Amino acid sequence: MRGGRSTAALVALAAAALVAAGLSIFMGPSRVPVGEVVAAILGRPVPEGALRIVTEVRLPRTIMGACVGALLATAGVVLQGFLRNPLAEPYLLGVSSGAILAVSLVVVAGIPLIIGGVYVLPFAAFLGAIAALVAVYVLAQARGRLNVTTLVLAGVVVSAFLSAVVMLIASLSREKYFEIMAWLMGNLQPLTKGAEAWTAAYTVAGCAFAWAQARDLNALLLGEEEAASLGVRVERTKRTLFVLSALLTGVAVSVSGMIGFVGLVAPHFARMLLGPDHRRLIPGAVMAGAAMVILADLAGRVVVAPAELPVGTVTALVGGPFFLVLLLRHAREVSGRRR
Amino acid sequence: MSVLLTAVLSVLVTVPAMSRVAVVDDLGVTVFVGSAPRRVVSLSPGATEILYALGLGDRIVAACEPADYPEAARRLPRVGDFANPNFEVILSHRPDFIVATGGLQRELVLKLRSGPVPMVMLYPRGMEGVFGNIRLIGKAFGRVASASSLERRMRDRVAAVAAGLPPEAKRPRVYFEVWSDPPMAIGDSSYAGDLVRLAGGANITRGVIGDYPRISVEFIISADPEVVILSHCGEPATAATTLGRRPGWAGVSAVKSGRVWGDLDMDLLLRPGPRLAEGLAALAERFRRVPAGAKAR
Repeated sequence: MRGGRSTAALVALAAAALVAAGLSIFMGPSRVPVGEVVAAILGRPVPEGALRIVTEVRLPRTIMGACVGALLATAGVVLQGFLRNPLAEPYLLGVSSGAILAVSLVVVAGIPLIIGGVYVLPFAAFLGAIAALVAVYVLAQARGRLNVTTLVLAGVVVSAFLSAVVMLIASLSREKYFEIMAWLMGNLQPLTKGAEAWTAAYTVAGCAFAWAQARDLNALLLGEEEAASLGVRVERTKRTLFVLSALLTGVAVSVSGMIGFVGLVAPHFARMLLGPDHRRLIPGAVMAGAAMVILADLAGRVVVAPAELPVGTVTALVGGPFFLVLLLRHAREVSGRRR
Repeated sequence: MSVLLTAVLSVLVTVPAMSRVAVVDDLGVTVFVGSAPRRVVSLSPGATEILYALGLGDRIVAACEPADYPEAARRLPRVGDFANPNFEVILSHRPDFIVATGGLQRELVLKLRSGPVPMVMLYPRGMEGVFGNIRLIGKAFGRVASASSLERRMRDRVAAVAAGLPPEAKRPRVYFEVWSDPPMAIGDSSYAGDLVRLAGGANITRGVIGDYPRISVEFIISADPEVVILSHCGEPATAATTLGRRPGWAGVSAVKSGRVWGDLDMDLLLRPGPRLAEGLAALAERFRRVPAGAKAR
């Protein structure tokens, strides 16, 4: 029964992601008739403007939205899993800020973005992400056990500090100011033509690898000793998951900047529908994350059209209240346990 | 007795007030300026040029970057750059008058406003606003005559530009870019938006809310500008090619025809000062040379 219901929920999430993608391709600040959109996708002759809008703007952007949503949601699941913390999220833990700082340094230093045919920003972002995650982890563990709220607090502090450094860099380098500020609020427009192709490749590989860790994540849910008794090599697994979450976040940030709360909202939404089993939770969160970012970006493009709202603003508007609800629920659970 | 006291007091109050001028700045605040200020700190590059044009250059004790026109302005002590003038450095010059601007300086303006030094904020909304600024400075410094002659000269030039404009339907569609990623445009309602209109350009951001709106790439492509003006730096010679490489841009009329202008002197256009009429005339001349109706929408 449980399995049947969660399969139905998985199908529903996949359908939601597809519908979101469809809306994002058919809607936009300019009116392109439905017939022309279809023709453009099928490669039939259409006016040049419509063709370019569909194939060079909407489609790449939708793919980027799906990828970034999937990456951030998966990073959220992985962080929540191995930290055993429902409030863990790349943005709130300062992991995204670390990535953004590294990206800003590369941008300001004028290092070419492509070296030897390889796009360097994801690597820089990964290094920044992992450095920030290590810092948060060490800070939160200062008193032995890893407490749920201490971790989030450490994350918020590290995030605020790193954002301040980014602001400093932005104000010192006047000509890159807008570029860096835009990174801080999220932007799904691909940097170069074809960027969406390798982003998609990274995303599929990263999420598939995370999915392969589903059993270990499930075991860790029971507690580290129980996981060890089930034959999980706990320390090694945690290290792998640690690096993986930074990698997923780094890739997402390097292509889209800071988009907050997706790693919180999407996994929890999927968990509500599918339960805690990571074998279903990860695909579910991937689809929920994709749908969320695509829809947030669509809203950002359409609501104030032809002006545009940064996608990170939209996700934060949704995610902020969501985080508060989770925090209150967590506080209630803790006080309930004490009684 | 009390009548006498009142009379004495009213003399005491009115005598200093008579040597003071009241001006209303672009925030709508009435500012009382003591008799012709002698130590001016100018935080507005446009005001710096206006002061020089009215023969008041020697009254400026410090200015913010950029101050490069006329030549003498280059030698002024600096109080930081346009976006970040330094509060303490400003006060260290012991000014008796401060001219600031809006936008990026808004916070500093609020801080300065509560201080003892009279300060005006100049933030013109367009060409008329710049004329207002010139009159204000003329009034504050007792140079009303030279201010109105400067205004008259500029107005003549603007009128000459207006007389040469083609009918509305034949004006080129213009996208004036402040920043490329994400695209940020000069809004129709902004100061520079007014210049584009006066010079005979049809700004594609007409009807878009905001002075410098961040707009969709898709919107730009579908508006199909015939001219793109880049206010940020870049290689003017290769601007069209570079723009064509952005996703979706290759079909835009301005890119196809090579009308991507990265070589306009932005100081003449974006600095609300005496040289604005010159910048306007140059821009109008460029617009005039764009063949009308290069491509129907």
